[in-house]
Amino acid sequence: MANEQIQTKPVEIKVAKVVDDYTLVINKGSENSITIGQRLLVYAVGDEIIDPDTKESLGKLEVVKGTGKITHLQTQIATLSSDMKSPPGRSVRRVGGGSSLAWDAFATFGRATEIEEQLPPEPIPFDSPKVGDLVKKI
Amino acid sequence: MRLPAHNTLSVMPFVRKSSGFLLWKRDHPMKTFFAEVYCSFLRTHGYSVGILSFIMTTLAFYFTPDDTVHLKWLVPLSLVSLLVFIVLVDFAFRAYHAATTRLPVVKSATKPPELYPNATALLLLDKSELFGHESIVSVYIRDNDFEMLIGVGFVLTIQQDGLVQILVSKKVESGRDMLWTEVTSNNANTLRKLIVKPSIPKHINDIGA
Repeated sequence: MANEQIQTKPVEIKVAKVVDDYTLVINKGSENSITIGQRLLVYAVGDEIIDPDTKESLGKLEVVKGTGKITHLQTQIATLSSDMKSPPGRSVRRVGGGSSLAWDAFATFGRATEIEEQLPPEPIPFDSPKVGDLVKKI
Repeated sequence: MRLPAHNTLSVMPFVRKSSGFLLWKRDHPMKTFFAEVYCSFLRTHGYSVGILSFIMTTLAFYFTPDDTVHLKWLVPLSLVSLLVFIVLVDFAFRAYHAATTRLPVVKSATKPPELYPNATALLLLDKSELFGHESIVSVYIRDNDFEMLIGVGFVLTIQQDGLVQILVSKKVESGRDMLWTEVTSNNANTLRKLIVKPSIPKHINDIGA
């Protein structure tokens, strides 16, 4: 009976260590059904939200600090790496000449070839992660 | 650009089907439980049955048969009928609420978290099973009988208490410059007009996330 209650109770996962802004260690591992590649969301409990109509409390806002994937797993801890990425950017490159003023003047006549390249998305760090921040499976 | 609402007022709330039943149109704005009860009353020819019942009751009053029903049969039959009636009403009530998937109301709004500097707003919605984590949504504002698309975004998180956080990641031009300022300042009148749907129009191919 007691075991059943323990199993049904949701596991509270927390940040145990901040390695850097992109990498966190959580206080749960393979013993707690955490698996490699699993996605988790990191958040902190923020300010109380007041209903603008009734002025009653709606509870506290969960401030999202980012999402990540489990990249390393131990029995009681796991490493969570940010999986957020910026939208892919674009760059335009001129092909076939130098960068002198003469070339620029030449290029304005439309003889230069411009190649548009798509830049790979850049990773986004967690937003000010702290030890004790809450983590949940998504 | 104004988009027509899905629940515009209908001039003819009833339509006659080939079966002869009068049906309440599905898009009629009156969708309360009692409206549905009235709809069922019409579907089962309630007026005709009512008039017939009245006539038969009146006739029975003047032409009472000599036969009598013993109380030992009348009482249990009445109680069983009452029980069946109560159970059916309760069942209908619960079935009605289960069938009507209402969109959750926007309870509160604030500026987006620092993690998303290019986003427009963060909306806090009531509990709803219609939304899942990171599912895309569209935000409309109700303006009289019209719903106007004002933004798109996604479900940022579903809180432990069940409330749904929506990050509005992209504004849609609506011609109302101060609209999102009103929303993020938690203006109750503006929030009351917002509608969040778990889908986006097909012409939106980038939600700006």
